[in-house]
Amino acid sequence: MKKNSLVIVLSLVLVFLCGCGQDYYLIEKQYYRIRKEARKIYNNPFGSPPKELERVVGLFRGFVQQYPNNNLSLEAQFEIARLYAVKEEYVKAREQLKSIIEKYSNAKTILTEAIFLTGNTYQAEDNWNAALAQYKKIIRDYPTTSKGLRMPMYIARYYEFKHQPDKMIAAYQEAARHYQTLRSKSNNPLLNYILSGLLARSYVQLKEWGNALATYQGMLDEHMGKTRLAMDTVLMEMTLIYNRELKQKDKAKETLSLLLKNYPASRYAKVAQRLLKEMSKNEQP
Amino acid sequence: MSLIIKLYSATYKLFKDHSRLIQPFLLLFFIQVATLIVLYFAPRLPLRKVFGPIILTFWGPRYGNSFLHYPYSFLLLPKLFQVGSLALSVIVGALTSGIAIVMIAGIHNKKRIDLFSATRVAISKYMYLFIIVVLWVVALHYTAKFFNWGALQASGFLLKFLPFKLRIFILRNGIITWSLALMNFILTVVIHSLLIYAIPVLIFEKQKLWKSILKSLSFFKERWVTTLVFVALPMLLYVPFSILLQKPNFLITKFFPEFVAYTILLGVIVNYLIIDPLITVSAALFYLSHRKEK
Repeated sequence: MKKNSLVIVLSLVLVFLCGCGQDYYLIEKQYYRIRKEARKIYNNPFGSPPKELERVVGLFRGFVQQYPNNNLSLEAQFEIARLYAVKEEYVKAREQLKSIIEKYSNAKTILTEAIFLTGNTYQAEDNWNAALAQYKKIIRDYPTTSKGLRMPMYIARYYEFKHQPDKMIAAYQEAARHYQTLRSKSNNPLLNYILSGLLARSYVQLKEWGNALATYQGMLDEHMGKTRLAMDTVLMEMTLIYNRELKQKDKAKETLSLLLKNYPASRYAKVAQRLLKEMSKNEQP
Repeated sequence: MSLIIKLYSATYKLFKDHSRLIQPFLLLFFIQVATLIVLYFAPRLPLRKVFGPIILTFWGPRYGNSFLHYPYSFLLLPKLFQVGSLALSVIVGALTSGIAIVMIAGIHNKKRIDLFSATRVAISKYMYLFIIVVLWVVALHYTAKFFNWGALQASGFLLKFLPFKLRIFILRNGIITWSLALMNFILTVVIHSLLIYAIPVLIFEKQKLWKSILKSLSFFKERWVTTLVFVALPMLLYVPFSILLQKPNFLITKFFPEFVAYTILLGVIVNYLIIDPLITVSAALFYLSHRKEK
């Protein structure tokens, strides 16, 4: 009798635990296993046979069909595109991305990611003009998305990486103008904060120290002590400009003291203290 | 060393001749396995409803809800099990150790004592047993904390005076981490050894709590080398598990996520079916043989 009740209780526990077979956790587990297969291709894109690619793509497609409304289904669709891209099958990658763009035409974040990856495939083919067209599309159509905000800097950095200084300067100038225009149109304080940061960084790249400092100062006036946004990074950036570029040690010390006074627990606190000490040492005759 | 071998073989013989002696250890083992199973299923429905809020309360502010997702849940499993296992070791382990010692006392006095009657006796002394185990856990926790802090401060200070190349060598090869692990192992052995005779004294001599603890300390003082060796040797078996479970990320990437759970399970088997019975019974036998000598 005792044994029978034990068996019944154990069976009930097992049913209780296994009965929830289709929970999110199991879907994640299935997805993880497919991704593990995909990782083999990522790790050795040219050594893995084409059949292997089609097999893994098939697994991802099967997953998408099985769980069409799951968040991971979207991730799986991107994985297919990335797998084709890594195997240098750019046309197929773009086809996949196009299908994502058509499917998620109302989701800006997804769209910008898909367009950006499309640009990446052109870039990998050394077709910069086609890539640039995609990146500019993001700037034009989705300027305030995360990708849209970073795209002008991305373009400028491409020219920097390719050692094309004239184009790089023009791109940073265009970026600065773009951020300024967006900022003048925006009423969102958080967006303004991000835009000011990007604008200041564009000025730094252009070595327009006065403009960069004025933009950072504007951020300080607007946010320090008034909003919850921490200004320690801004103060550190200002210090570096004063100290390294303009050699204005007094101003640098002033901003460092401001940083330490307002943000004693900041990740820059230790560096700031060390910098202050060094500056004071150097001042001594 | 021959004394240790004799002690272990006497322990083995005792288990062989009185197989029911394994019952209290089996009980704790099954409870630990059940805990592992529950924690393994914790991120899944329906257990997620209970464990989800707990995990989010403790780890949510830093890691969000990552630990409720596959395979990240396996990064937390060793930590969760460590906490659960420690609580069980205090609450249930105190009782099962008491039961085992009562059974040994029965065997020694040539009386037949089964699991239930031994449990009745152990329950009557549960408060004392519980306090002894709590004392052990608290002492270990705080001394380890203090020594780790001291060792880190000292190493940070000493590193400044070492040549640059030697400093880089020490930092790159994780020598400080390994030294800390070794120090923690020694601390565990020493603290465990200090109180290992408290339960045998409590049961065999029917002493009060503080007298049992003091007697355990004085017995250890007289025979500290033997005690440290017979406690440390089985504990060495758990060291590989301890090291592996410090790096669940390594197990997940090198093998597969469930490998973390299998490692914990193997650790539970080794800990609760080999180390725990061997140390508990050896300590009781060693104490009994010494009492005989007196």
